[in-house]
Amino acid sequence: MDRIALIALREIRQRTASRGFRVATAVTMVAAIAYVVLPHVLASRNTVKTVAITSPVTAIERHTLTSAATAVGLRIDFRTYRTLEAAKAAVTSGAAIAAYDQSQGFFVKRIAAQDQATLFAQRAAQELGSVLALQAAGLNSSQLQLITHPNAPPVVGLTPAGKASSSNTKAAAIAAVLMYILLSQYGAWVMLGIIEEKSSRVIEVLLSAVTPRELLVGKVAGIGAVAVIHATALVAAMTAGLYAIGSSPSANLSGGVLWLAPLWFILGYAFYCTLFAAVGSTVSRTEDAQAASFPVALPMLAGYIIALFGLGGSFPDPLLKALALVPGLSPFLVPAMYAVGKVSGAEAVASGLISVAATYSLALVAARIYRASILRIGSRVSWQEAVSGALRRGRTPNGRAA
Amino acid sequence: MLEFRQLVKTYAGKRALDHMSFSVPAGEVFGFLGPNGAGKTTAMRSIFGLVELDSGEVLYQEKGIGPTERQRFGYMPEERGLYPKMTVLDHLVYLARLHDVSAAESKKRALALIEKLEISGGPGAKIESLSLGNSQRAQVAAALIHSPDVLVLDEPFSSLDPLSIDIVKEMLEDYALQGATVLFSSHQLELVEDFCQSVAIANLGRIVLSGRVDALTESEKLLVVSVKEDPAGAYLDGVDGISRIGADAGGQRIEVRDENAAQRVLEAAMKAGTVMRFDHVRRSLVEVFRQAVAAPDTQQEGA
Repeated sequence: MDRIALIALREIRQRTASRGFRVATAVTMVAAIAYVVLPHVLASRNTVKTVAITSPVTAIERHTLTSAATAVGLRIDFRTYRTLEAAKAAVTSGAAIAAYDQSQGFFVKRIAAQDQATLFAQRAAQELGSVLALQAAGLNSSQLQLITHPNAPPVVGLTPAGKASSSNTKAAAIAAVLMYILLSQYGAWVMLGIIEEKSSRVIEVLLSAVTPRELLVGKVAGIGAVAVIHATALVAAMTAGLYAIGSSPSANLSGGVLWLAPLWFILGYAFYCTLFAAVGSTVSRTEDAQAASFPVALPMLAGYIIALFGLGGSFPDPLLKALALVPGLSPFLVPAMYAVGKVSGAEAVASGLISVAATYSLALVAARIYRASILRIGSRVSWQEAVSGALRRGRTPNGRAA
Repeated sequence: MLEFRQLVKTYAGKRALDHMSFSVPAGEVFGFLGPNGAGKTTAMRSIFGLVELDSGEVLYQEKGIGPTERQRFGYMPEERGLYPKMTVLDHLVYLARLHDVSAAESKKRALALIEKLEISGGPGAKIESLSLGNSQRAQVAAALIHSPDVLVLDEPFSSLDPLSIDIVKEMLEDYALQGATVLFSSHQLELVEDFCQSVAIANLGRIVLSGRVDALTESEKLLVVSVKEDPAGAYLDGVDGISRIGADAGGQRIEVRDENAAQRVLEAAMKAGTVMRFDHVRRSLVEVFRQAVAAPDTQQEGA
């Protein structure tokens, strides 16, 4: 068997057999299922909210309040209390989201800008005010029915409709979170695996049998395969969760996101594992790893934060589009931006090509740094030393041409 | 034959190898000696390309050594190391497979080595659970697992108890008898003298003495004399052309400086009483080593 395949296979066997991997995979799978299923369970449990009333509401009032609730994402029913004080007490205790009295108006527990009860009460009050005004103006019930149930003209989109906005936003967030978890975990594995080989001194035994390039490529490929196994398990868990609540991935995500996210995971892994490998080769002790890897973790964190929060409107679109072309940021931004329609397929492909070119160039330098630093045991190799060692021409350790 | 030819290596202005040259013949155990910092480890690492030489080369069978040749070499580095979480069996099989040994053959050899080296815990023991001595044996097995043509061991006997030393020693002797080239470094000179056919002694990056152990320790100038009536050797006080270099249970050890001095010693001993012993003795390798590293500027070659 090819030596690179042997090295990769060892990584896969050792990593997947470790208790740490099994526990981490199980925990993240449970979290993935919970992420999909819990909101559905909670939503179904809390679907119907109670509005406390002090006397039976009229048909017009019932219809207006129900419409207002629907508009803010609520379903309501009505419960009659003997006194207004009792209705208010129900609101205060949480038994009702709001109280309505025909003469006193609406009562909510606390007025807050984004509070659903406040939004409902304000909208209901406004709409009810209009209806009551029309009623006072002398409109009969059939006229009121016509006004409150208008036969609105249709609105037709000229391009195919996208998925629901909330689904796309959720998909973007999931893509960014998964990307960050997987890239940081498996990038760190590459780095720590290399440090382990240095600190346990097995490196000299290995390099007497294989070249540094074979060792590096085998390790990166093996850990990458483990990362793909983990990612597949997470996606499978989410898919199972979706089917369990009567949905499916295709019902929640556009087809593009389904293939774009895994592809960008591979591109992101290739980019970051190259950097982590170079960093790992300059360090001999695990306690130095965190400080050494900080410059690599930084763009990863930046990409994650921008993807998670920048898409909500904090960043102007032209800036986001520019950032999506930056290697290192693109694995986080492109899948998320594609999910919410802020980047086109062509732009995603262009960004992918830039990422591949950057990773290739980086891999050439990183492989040299690895070759020059991997046998340096003891104190940490400075970046200056590592780069100058990598750039030095002539014979390198293990007899390969530089 | 493994040949080190004019190796030069400088670390931060300090010369680790200073035109070091020597040859290691096949089919025998060759000892590589020298005080700390003599350049032994650097020279051994250069065989595997683990050191970038400033100049010089290492040849095997008169050809340069590349990745293909190294596949037939086995190495036990000074800094011991195996993957701590792997079992002994898995680790040995893995290393054998990296040297192109088939899966079935790798397992067969690994099990045989584990049994022969008496690694406690057996094939399923994790490397991290092994004692220092057993870990060392596993490291020896790792160097031997692919039946290399050339075996290079850096301090293989350090940290081993006498029983372990016997086991490893026997394995290396058997291995050399099968025609392999076995080179190892050690500070345990009595051990080296006991089972090496040839040695090279390095100091300050150069070879200061090399040759067969028999030839290097042979000395016609070293005598041991014992007189029953004068064990303290007072009769030697008036003899010209000798140096007294000590005494042990066998008698007085002296070095003669000219051909007739031995005759004068014998005559003086006979006058002093009953001569119980009058014999040439070999120098110990320790003596040879001390003398060689005390004069690093002269390179000597044993027969």
